Formats: sequence, structure tokens, C-alpha cells
Amino acid sequence: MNEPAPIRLAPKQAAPDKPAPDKPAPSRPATEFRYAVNVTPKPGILDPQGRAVEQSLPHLGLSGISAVRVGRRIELTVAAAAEAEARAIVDQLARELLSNPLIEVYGIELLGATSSTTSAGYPSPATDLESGAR
Amino acid sequence: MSVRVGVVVFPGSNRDADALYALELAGAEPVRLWHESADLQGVAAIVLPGGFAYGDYLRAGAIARFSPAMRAVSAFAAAGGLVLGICNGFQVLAEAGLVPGALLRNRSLRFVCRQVTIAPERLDTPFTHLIGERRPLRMPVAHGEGCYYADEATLDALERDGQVLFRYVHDDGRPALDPDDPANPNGSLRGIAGVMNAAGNVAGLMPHPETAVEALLGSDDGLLIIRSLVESAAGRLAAGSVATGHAGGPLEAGAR
Repeated sequence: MNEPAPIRLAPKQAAPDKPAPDKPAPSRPATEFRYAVNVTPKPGILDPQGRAVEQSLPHLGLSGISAVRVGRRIELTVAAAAEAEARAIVDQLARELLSNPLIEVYGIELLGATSSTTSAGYPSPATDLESGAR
Repeated sequence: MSVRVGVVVFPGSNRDADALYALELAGAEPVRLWHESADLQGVAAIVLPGGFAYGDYLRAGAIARFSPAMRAVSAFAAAGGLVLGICNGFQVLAEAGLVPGALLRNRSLRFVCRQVTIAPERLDTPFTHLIGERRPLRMPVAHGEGCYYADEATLDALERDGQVLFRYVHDDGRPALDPDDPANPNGSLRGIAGVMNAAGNVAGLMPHPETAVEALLGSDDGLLIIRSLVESAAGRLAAGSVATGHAGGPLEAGAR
């Protein structure tokens, strides 16, 4: 099976053999922001997975639980000069690829931030985002 | 000279060979189009085949949408070119916004693989005109995410504008409008099995006409749909009225 081609979303992620032209210059101060994108079925949309979970609850002897919705959580690291800039990238990714706005809604959570000039702390370095700088 | 019709092959496509075979049976010259290429090789129509493009990761069709071939297909469709998406191809078209709505997980949560009966709502389209009269057609479905969804306002608009192309029906032709009707294999709203875009040149359906092309396969009803597509493409080509997928880049094609 072939590896899927990289998805083209701005800003472009560099393919291993050809650097993307709009990649930030190495000298630019960058911080790595760690995000979670939570994607769930839109309110009102039938969620058969949520319903299946809900129907299993009596088998566990649990009661009082309702409105179960099953979604998806995607965590990722973005290198950018500022949080607003990073968030705009995540928002575009979430809107165009990670969710389908017809049937899903998403929320973006900032999990942490680390200056890329230091290796300490959370998150762990995302080598594939800034491979040229290492 | 037979008309060239392309079949886009994604990593994970598995009904591409069936589509190529059915197109040939319908009198076309089938052309394999690789997902990494934006060159549509001068085809007069395009089929997006069934399968699991890019492993169906994230959502079925979500990642295929961003492939170079799909960007070219979008431009081809915008220029009026005929595009038929079958099963996973329908999911790709819906994700790309080329047809309205979305395909959700089957209401049963089960992968459904069986013969179904559908009926065309329209007999005057490039995809159905050879069916002749409205009658039930037998062909298989094989999918886990085929539950057609659009909001109520969109569904009303689709009905009003004649964009509902196929519905699941009982053998006597009675439509399976209720999502829980046993003749509705996946819980599709209003029994919708296939839709068209507003311009009427892009269509998608969950059942597999390309695997119902010979009596030996249990039905040859699907060939009527494939032949409709092929003859429409040939007719448009002869009339010189359509853009073919020739051309360098997808963006140039779209700008014409």
C-alpha cells in the first residue's frame, strides 16, 4: 500500500525532499504550541455509536447517564510566533479536514507551549515540524 | 471511436477494476487516473470508484478530497464535466462538497453487504436516461458509512430541485422512506441512495451499479447507469459542448 500523499493545507508542511517555500525562516522566533481538537457530532445528528454506548449502560448497572455522544480527539503541535497565529492554523485545519461542518462541531484546547530554543518541559519536541532547524 | 472515461485510483480503492470493466462493457475506453496526478488525460467523464481511499482515516473520503487528482476533478466538475461517485466515491464527492449532504455511520453500526433495490427519481439525467422507465433496479451495497444525511431544509430543497437521484425501494417499487425500513440498508434520511449537484453533472450513489453489469453477477441493472454515463459523455463530446479533462493543471481547467 502506498503512503498517502501529504495533505496540502496552508501553511505547507515540508516534504522530506523539497522544502516548502513558505516555511518560516529558521531565525524567526518560534514557540511550539500543543493543542487538542475535540470533534463531536453536531447536536441533533443521530450518533449510533453514542446510542450503542448508552444502551450498554444497564449491563454495567449504571443509571442516570444520558445524551452520550462519541467523537474524536486529535492532538497536535504547531510552531508559530504567537498563540493567535498558531490557533488560526489549527482552526483552519479543524474546519477543512479534521471535522465536517455539515455533521460535526469542534472545539480547540491549548494544552501547553514551549519555546523551540529550549528542550525542557512539555510538549516534547515536534521534530517533524522543524526538522530543518535541528 | 469510443469515448474515454477515467477512473480515479486512490490508495485503498478496491472497486476500480470493476468500474474499468463496466465502462468497457458499456462501450467506453476506460482510463486509469492515479490519485497523485492532476492530469486527467483528456477523459470526457470520470468515475470515483468504491473502496477505502486513504484507509477511510478520519472520515471516509476526507483525505482523498485533498489529493491532486481530486483537485483536478473539482475543476473538471466546475467546468461542467460528468462525474459519478460510487460508494466510497460518493463519500469523497460529499466530503469535497461536490454533491450535497454527508454519509454517516450506518444506523445499525454494521457493515452492510447485500443486494438492495433502488429506483431512479429522475430519468432525464446524464446518469439515468437509458433506464427508460421508472422501475426498481437490483444491485449490491457494501459499506459501513452510507447513511445519507442532510438537514431538513437541505432535504426539502433537494426534493424540490430534483436532486434526489435514487431512493431505496421495496421490490414492488414502494420507497423505503423511513430510516428504519428494512429495505433501507443504512438508515438514510428519506430513503436517499443517490443525489446530484444543482447543475446536474455530478452524481453520487452508495449502491454499486458497476458490479451489477451481467446476469452472471445476479443483475445487470447497473449497466443501465454506466451506459447512461458513457453515452452522455460521448454525446457531449460529439456536440463539442464540454470541457474534457485535458489541460495542464486543475486550476487552468477551472478557469476556462
